[in-house]
Amino acid sequence: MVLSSIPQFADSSSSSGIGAFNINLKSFIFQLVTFVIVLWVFKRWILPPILRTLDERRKTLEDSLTNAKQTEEALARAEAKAEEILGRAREQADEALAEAKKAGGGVVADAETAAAQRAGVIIKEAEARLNEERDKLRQELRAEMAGLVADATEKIIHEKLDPKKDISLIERAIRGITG
Amino acid sequence: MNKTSRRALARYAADQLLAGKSPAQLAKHLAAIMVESGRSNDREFLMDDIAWELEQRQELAVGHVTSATPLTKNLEVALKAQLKKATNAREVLLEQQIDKSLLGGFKVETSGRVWDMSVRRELTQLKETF
Repeated sequence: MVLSSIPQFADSSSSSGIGAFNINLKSFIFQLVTFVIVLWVFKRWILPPILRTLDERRKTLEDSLTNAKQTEEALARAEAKAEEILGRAREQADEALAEAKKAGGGVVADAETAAAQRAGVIIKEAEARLNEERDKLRQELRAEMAGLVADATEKIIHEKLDPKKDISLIERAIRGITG
Repeated sequence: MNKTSRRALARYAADQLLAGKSPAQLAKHLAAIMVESGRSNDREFLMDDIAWELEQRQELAVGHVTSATPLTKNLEVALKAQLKKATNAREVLLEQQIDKSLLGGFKVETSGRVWDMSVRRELTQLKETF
């Protein structure tokens, strides 16, 4: 019935004012009031929860973004730290390797020096032994020669030294007796 | 019973001889002591000790001469004279023996000293030198 009255309202004011635009004033006011009521209802009960939800979502999103940013920064810091640690570890490893190489070189050099010294000592000892053996042999040979010479001399003296010569020898020897 | 030492006996014997005691009587006396103390076998050593004692006192030197050829009288006199000088002894006695292994020269030993002037020693020294 209300709907059916709207064209009538439009029709009744069509001759002047708003009616010139072919608008029913009553219907218009009614629609305006209805609209205002709907608007008020919407603003009073429907819009706040929507806005609240939107705010919450926005806030959650912002928090998430902040967390993400913080996480990203923490990750960056961790990566930087890890890089630094790795770099330091690499440096230490390089130093250790260099020192090991150096020490290894030193050990080899020391071993070579020690071996050379030991070889020198062995050669000297061998030479000393050889000299000793040679001296011993020479001495034995000399003693043997002396023995042979003495034996030969003894035989010759035995044959050549007659009593007369011995008396002469004794005579000379007596003068050799001293206190 | 205390045993008198051989050295003490030698000193006693030297004292007695120098005091003019008869050697025969002294020998008997010493023999009795040696037998009594059970040292008969030491008589040779005792004689050596007496000779050493007399030589130390410059009274008598007994020279044991060994040579390959017997010494002539002249050589004995010369040797005695030389030994007197060397030992400063008032008297020198020589005991001779022959040893052909000396080859030549002689060797004389007194109680305190030895002079080896033999050819054998020269040869031994030659060997030792080498």
